[in-house]
Amino acid sequence: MSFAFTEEQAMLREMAARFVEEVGGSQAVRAAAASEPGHDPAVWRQMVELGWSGIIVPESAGGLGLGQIELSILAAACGRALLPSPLIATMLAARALSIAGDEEQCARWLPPITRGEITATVALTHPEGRHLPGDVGVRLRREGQDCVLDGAAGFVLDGHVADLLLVAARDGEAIRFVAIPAATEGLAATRQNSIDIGRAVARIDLTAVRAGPEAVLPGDAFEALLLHANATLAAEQMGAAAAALDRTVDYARQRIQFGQPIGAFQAVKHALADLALLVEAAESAVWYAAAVADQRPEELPIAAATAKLMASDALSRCAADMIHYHGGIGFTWEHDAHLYFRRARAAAGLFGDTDRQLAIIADGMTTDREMLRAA
Amino acid sequence: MRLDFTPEQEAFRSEVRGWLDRELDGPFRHVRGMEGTSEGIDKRFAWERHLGRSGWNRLAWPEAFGGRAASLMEQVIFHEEYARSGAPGRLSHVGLELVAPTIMAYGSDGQRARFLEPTAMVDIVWAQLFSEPNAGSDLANVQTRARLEDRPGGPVWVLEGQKIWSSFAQYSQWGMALVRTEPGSSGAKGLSMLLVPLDGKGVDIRPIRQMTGGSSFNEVFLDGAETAAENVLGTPGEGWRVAMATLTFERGVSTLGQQMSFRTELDRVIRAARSNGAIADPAIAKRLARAEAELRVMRYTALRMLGDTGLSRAGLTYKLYYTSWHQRLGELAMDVLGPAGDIAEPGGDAWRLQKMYLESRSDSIWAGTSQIQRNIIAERGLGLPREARPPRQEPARQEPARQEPAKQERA
Ligand SMILES: Cc1cc2nc3c(=O)[nH]c(=O)nc-3n(C[C@H](O)[C@H](O)[C@H](O)COP(=O)(O)OP(=O)(O)OC[C@H]3O[C@@H](n4cnc5c(N)ncnc54)[C@H](O)[C@@H]3O)c2cc1C
Repeated sequence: MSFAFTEEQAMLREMAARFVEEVGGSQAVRAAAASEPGHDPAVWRQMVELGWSGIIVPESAGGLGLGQIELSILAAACGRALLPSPLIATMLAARALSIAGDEEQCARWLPPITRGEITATVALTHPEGRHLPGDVGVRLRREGQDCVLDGAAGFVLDGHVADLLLVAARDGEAIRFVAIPAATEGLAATRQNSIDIGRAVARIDLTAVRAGPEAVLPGDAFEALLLHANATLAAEQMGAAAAALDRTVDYARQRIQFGQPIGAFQAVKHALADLALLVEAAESAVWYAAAVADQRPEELPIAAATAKLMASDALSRCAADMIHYHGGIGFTWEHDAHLYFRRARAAAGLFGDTDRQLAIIADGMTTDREMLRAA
Repeated sequence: MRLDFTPEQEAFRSEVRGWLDRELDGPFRHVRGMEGTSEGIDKRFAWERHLGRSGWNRLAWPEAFGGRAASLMEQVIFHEEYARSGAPGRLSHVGLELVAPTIMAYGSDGQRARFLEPTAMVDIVWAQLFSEPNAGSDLANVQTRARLEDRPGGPVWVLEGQKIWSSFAQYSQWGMALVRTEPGSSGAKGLSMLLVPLDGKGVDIRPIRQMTGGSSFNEVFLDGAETAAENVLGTPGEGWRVAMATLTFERGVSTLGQQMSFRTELDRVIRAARSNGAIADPAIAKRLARAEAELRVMRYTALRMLGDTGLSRAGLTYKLYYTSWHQRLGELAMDVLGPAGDIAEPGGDAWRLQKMYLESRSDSIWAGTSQIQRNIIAERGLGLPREARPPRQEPARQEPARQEPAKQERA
């Protein structure tokens, strides 16, 4: 049992931090997020060159064959700067294919994803944004060999630019992912006007979208994918929370009022200490969930829910206090604080809000013996 | 990052678990589940001596001091298993976790030879005599004085003053006392750490009744109490440095295993919520789920700290995190019980929860209050500037200005 990063993981962390620092300046991030695709394709190409688009793709399909820990490392690094890219969306699609796809589907889609020839995403959220168990907004019916999809999904990460959509659709008792290229007839993707101006999300409408049997992933991946999505998102939130805290601490050391740095006043320093508690808690939960995803998938429901819960708490409080402890300047459009605040609100709701995570944890409340094993 | 324990660690866990279950099902049946600071004191000391004779009290000690030099992970495993087994709360914590490591770090060979073995065997029980009526958070304001005097058998320190909040002093044979040995000094300078016998003349120990009704801490009046000149830990004048080391041990590994007793308490709350139906209240269910998640996180943080050397920011946040959690658990327990919790009869789960509720109010005070913890996190963890402070009041006939000592807060 060890909670330390391996040497390779530590190196990846450093490298990712350096890269994000280089490309993730405030102006660049704002311009990218406001652009039509919602990210800078040149930055994404660099990520592809670094191998990030294949970080969790098996080596047999040309990827790096690494795990959730490594993906969480990248998500956390991007989260610090709120750097937009199709990384999370594409890796969730790759994860869905790996879990539920057959050999042919994996061979068809994973290599072009890894090479950066296409981006992909998963459509698994009800258009209203709620995440009740088994609740999706797309229905699948069979017509001979083919299947036909009707309905809608919302909050689809980078859904308006993804080349491939893995759409979660109700198929009788089951929920299946169906691989639909963006150009398919009957599919319309529209970017939504999200409070989080730093992340592009889209609504997907499907009207009699027809797909062959080879498009339906045979495995059962819906629940597992939600857990992976939350584990990954939590890493991104945690990175953002840590950055919001760091930037606020820096300001509190520099801003002088009443003849001393405001960070010397206990009312300020104690509030920042409380934020440090939340960030540390989120870190613990995020890395634990990532390790669980790789090593003990059976424990992922509680671990991912805990990570999401803690990271949402941390980011919400850090972002709100980032605004507050910057004073008037924190309330301006030019200051980045509102970008973190907007992200905090939207990310907490994505893939299941705090109440949903608490419900998952309540379902799994265990005895001491089980917890010992869980260590 | 690996989640699995090694086969050696698993084997160690079985060894600990097997031993504890055997003893607590057998000869020490009667101490199982004893809690708090007043229940079954004699039986619990007998149990702790048994632990000592069986080698468990020295698990972490280097082999040179008769220890087993267990790894941090093994220590955590031991503490976890200890709590899981329902073994009683420890009474010799001060000696084993605070005094012994300080003696190992600062003691002379003679002091090590004299004190370590009997401390491990719980033949010497120790009290930590740091706090005074006017030296709490501001520990450097200690006013108890000691001066060297000649006696026929050799020179001795003679102590005058008052200590307070001294846990378990009423059961202790020795105390580790932070005292002022340089007349006219103030603040962190001129302090020394003395090892003082508490069963001699000039020592008056008076238990203080706590808000729980029980008495775990005491007033200790030192009125001409004596200890041999050689019983100074470190050099005279070095007391502050020694005290800081002790306070670092105070939030060391021994606190990591306690999550398992928190586990026992949380399970008790969940059980109560299931049996009285409170769990059907969504607000209660959510608070329980949150407590569960946070307890897990506490454990992950503890494990993360083991990977670190020194006090990382995670380490600095740990005490505030777990004590805040524990106080919230107390409040949740009472909300789960409802009015029935207010009239609980001694013995049952409800009564234990009510006790926990009351006991937990001390968590934000001992070992550095929550405000002091926040100062430490902010100043050492986040690098925020220290608060401006007025210069310390100088005692009479002193040279004018004196440098503020580097660190005065109780860690
Ligand atoms: C159960 C229990 C067991 C204990 N056992 C021992 C023991 O065995 N040995 C021992 O030596 N001591 C022991 N103590 C004493 C403990 O260390 C002190 O109570 C603690 O350090 C606080 O000191 P105080 O009680 O004088 O409160 P004060 O220091 O007077 O604090 C009062 C309030 O003021 C706040 N405050 C103080 N200074 C500041 C500041 N700079 N900024 C902001 N707020 C501040 C505090 O947070 C607190 O809320 C024990 C205490 C308890 C409750």
